This record gives sequence, structure tokens and C-alpha cells, in this order.
Amino acid sequence: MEGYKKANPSSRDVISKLPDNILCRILSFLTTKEAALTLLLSKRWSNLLQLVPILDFDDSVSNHRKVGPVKLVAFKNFVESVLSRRFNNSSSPVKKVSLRLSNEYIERRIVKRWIQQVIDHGALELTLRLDYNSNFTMPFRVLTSKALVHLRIGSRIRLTQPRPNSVSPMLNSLVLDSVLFGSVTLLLQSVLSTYPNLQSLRIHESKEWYYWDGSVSSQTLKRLVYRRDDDTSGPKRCVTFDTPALVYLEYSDVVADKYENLSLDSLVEVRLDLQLTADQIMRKNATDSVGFVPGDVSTLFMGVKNVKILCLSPDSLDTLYYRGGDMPVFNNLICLSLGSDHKPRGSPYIFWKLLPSLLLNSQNLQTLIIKGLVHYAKEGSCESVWTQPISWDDVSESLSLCGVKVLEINGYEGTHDELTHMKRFLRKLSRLEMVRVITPKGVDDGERYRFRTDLLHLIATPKCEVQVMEESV
Amino acid sequence: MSKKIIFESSEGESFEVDEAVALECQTIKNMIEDDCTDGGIPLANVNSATLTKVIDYCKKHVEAAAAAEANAGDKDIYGANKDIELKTWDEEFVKVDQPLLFDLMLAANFLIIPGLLDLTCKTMMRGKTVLQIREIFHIKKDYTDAEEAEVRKENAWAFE
Repeated sequence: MEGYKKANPSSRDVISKLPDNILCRILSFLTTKEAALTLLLSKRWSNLLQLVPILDFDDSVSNHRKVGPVKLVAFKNFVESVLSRRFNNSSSPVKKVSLRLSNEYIERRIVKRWIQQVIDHGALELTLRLDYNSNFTMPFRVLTSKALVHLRIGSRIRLTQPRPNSVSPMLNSLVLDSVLFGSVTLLLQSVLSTYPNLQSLRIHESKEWYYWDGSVSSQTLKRLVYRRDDDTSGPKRCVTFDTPALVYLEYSDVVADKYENLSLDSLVEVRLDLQLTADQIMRKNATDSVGFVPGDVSTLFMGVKNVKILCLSPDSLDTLYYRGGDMPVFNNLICLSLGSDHKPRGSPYIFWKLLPSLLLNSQNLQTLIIKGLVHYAKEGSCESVWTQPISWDDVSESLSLCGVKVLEINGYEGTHDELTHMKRFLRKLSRLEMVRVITPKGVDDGERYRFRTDLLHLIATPKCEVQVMEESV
Repeated sequence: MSKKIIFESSEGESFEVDEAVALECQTIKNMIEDDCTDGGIPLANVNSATLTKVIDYCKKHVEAAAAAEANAGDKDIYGANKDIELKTWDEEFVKVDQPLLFDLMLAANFLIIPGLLDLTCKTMMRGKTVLQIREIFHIKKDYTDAEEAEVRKENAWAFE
């Protein structure tokens, strides 16, 4: 702390006198390219880069637009030189490494060597992001280490089969973004056995980069996110979640033919984005459906019925509707979120048709979130196409019977139609304590003030608070 | 009534804060545990302006943590919102002039407030060119031309 008070506007160089650990902390928030620029400041700064525990290389970052072999050689030499300076000095371990490559000019064996070096030197966290046009094949053993805690790899990386004896005991979280496994016999299960203490797994599959057969079994997994972007390959035959420790599940896929072995006793929150294929919808009630297996939505919903937080995408609502039969009972549900901020928002008819039974079957519900009410509220959107009209009496009755305390509306535009529905919500929800309305970006303060005034006029319960805020991010 | 802790800035000004707020500082936490906070804690190297900001930061983060706990049931929905709100608050909080930012960083380092230390370190040099950094921090170049050329050559990609 010497010289601290003189840090203020004087013209002394105070920062260079700080200890290495603070300066390294400052540098660790920069990319390695930015951090390397400080080498030029003075000799004091010339050895700091090799002490920074975080390395972040990205070959697409450049001051100039031109990309050419010369520049890429420079990038390669830079990485080589930073890594070799680092690994010759064993007293400063690397904790976190991010490597992002978008150009295929650098020889693959060199890229593999970098990764191998980083892993061998005990990195705790590795993010590998390749934006190549062709496959990049990597031996799986490279990604196993005694130290690794977080691993994130993608995309279009083809991994070879894990060896049964190579285990990464510390690995806590794993992200696999569009990877593929060289051998068809390799399933997620063998990846999981390589990482016996994995708690968080995120799988993203995009076109032609599939590998999950639908089965997951883990005693340690707490968070699982599975998303498949492309549904042309049709439903999976069977999906199992043998994950008794799982707390959070985000699941986006075509409804599988069958759900089995759903061990989800710890589950608190589930976010479902389930799609039915056109075939599944069309042939559900058809007489010629010989050999057709309808999606097994009911079993999945039975498996998750004890959650506290349930988020259903528009597609999931459609799926729930087409499935038919009774609505499952959600005894523990306290927060229900319906709709979507971004995607096309599904059928308004189905939304209003399902809302009453969802509310009536969730006796302990406290928070109701509707994303994109403006879409469901459009006048006339429910009547013309459908023969059986919506019973607004049913909607009103279910609202007056439920104990919702917080109502949140996303993407609120304050249209006349929205206001009509808000009137129903605010008049009928007798235990309401808070209405939170989130407007899209670009709605100004004056408009928000008007929205709030309009809503305050509709409030039936005197203690209810009204918040109108702008969408963040 | 919660217990109060009294800080004394380098100018001798007293600041009374809730114990919960003071506990955000690991250094103070240790002192409280060792029971040596009676009669106030003199902070000879933290001035009043800095201390005011530090206390603001700790207060906000104690409140945010309490609010997050109250909403623990629906954490992933409201937790996310709160996180964004707190992040925005943090970003506004560090929009201060460079000397104050520097003082805040030193105070966070001395008092051991990891969140504030990261926040100030993150803001310290981000988005600045070498020239700007040299100017802001008054760093004098002590390389010879040959030495500088060597540094540039070795890290050519960074300087292109």
C-alpha cells in the first residue's frame, strides 16, 4: 500500500509498483492478444504475461481485415511462443484456456499438440471452439486429465472412442456442441463413465452431428441440457433419464416414441421444448395407423410432474394438446412459464384451451409467466379456424380459483387486445400481489408510464403492485 | 437491531455500517471473528470517497444476496433476472474516473472483496490501447529500440 495516497492525479507510475498478482488479475480479464500488448509498456511488464493464469487465443481477432497465410503464421508463432514461455516456467500454472480457431491453415497436428500441452500442464478449464468447414478428428484421450474441471468443445469435432481406463475424476461440467464420435458403437454412456463426477452436461446437436441415442444414466448429474436443432431425422425410439440427482432439465427434441426408466426424484425445474412431427399429429387419430407409434408425451409428463418450476414452449403446449387425455396434476408446482420470447409462438387456440386445466391442476401455483401474451391475445386469432370456440368462462373460472400471487407478462406491447386479457387476469386473480410487465426494447418511458396507468385502473386487489420494465439484454 | 461496525477513513471520518455489510470484506470478517473491532476499524489507506463507494458496493451485494435467497424457490427464473440487474448495477458502479477506479481496486485488494476486485480489475484496462494505458498510468518506456524491436518481433501477431 506504499504510495497509495499519491495514486491520485499525480504523474507517478503507481500501477507498475503493484504486486504481480494484482497486475496478472488485471491482465487475466483481457484476451491474450490484448494482454500481450502490455509487454511493450516497460520492462516491469515484460514477464507478466507468462504469469497470467488465463489464456485466451482467437485467430479471428485482428486489427486488420485481411486474412492471409502470413498473418496465420504470425498467429501460430504467437501461440507457440506464449505456450513455450509458459511451459518452461512451471511455477505459474495455467488455469483456464480458451482456443478459438476459424481458419484451417494451421496444421491439425499442431493444434492437437497445443491442446495436449495445455491438458498435460494441468489446466482446470478448457474451451475449444473450432469453426472449420471440415471435420477435425481428435483422440478422446487428449481430453482426459486428472485436473480438468470444466470442458467445453465444439463444433464439428469428431472424437475417437474413450478408453475404459482413462478417467477424469474432477470434471464437473461438460459442454458438447455439435461433436461426433468416430465409432457408431460409442454412446453417451461411455463418455459419462470417463467423467464419473460430472454434475452439469450440455449437449447441442445440429444437423448431421448427432450421437445421443436417448439414454442417460448418471448418479451425479445435477443439470442436463439437451437441444437438437434439426428434426428431420424423426423421433428417437426410446429415451431414458436415469438421473436421480438431477435438479434441472432442459430438453428440446421431437417427442420420442417411448420414455422409460425416468428416475427424476430430485428434479426441481424442467424446461420443455417438445415437438411432434407432422406425421405424429396427422396419424394420431387416423384409422390407417398400422405400425404407427404415437409420441409418448404422457409418460414424460408423469415423470416430471413433481417439479416446482415448469416452462413450456409453444411447441410443448401444442404437443400437450394433441396428446389428448387428462392433464397431469402438478402438486408441487409454484412457477409456471408458458410461451416463448423468440420463436413463433404457437396456436393461441391451444394456449387458451390448455390454460384453465393447467391452472386447476397446479393447486400451489404462485407465479405465472406468459411470454408473448400479445400473440395469444390477437382478436379473432382463436375463432375463425376452429370449430369449437374457447370458453372464456372456463378461463375466468380457473383464474378465480387459482392462488397466483405474481403475474409476469413478457413482450408486452400494450395493445387493446392485450389489455382486454389483462383485465380478465387482474380482475379474476384474487390473490395477486404483483404484476410485472416487461416491454420490448425501444418502448420509451412515456409509454411505459401509460401502460402502468392503464393496468393500475384494472387492479381489483388494492395491495397489488404494478411494475413495468424494459426487457434487459 | 443488527450489530454495527465503524470504519474510519484515512481522513479520520467515521462510517457506521451493519455487520452484514462489513462481512463482505474478508479482512474485516477475520477481524470480527477475532473480536478486535471494538472502537472502530481504522483504514489508514482508504480515503472517504473510496470508502463511501466500497460501502455502497457491499450494501448492494448484501441486499441482492438476501433477495436471491428469498426467491430461492424460483431461482432460475428470477435468479437470472436479478443477476442481470446486479450486473447492470455493477457496470454503472464502475463508471468512475480512473483514479477512483484505481483506489477502489486497491481497497478491494486490501479489504479482500473478491467481487469488487474482479470488477475493478476487469474495467481497468479493457478496451484501451497501449498508448492510452501508458498515458493514463504514466508508465515510462525503459526499453532500448533494439529491445523493443525484439518484443515486437516475438509477439508480432499481437502488434500487427
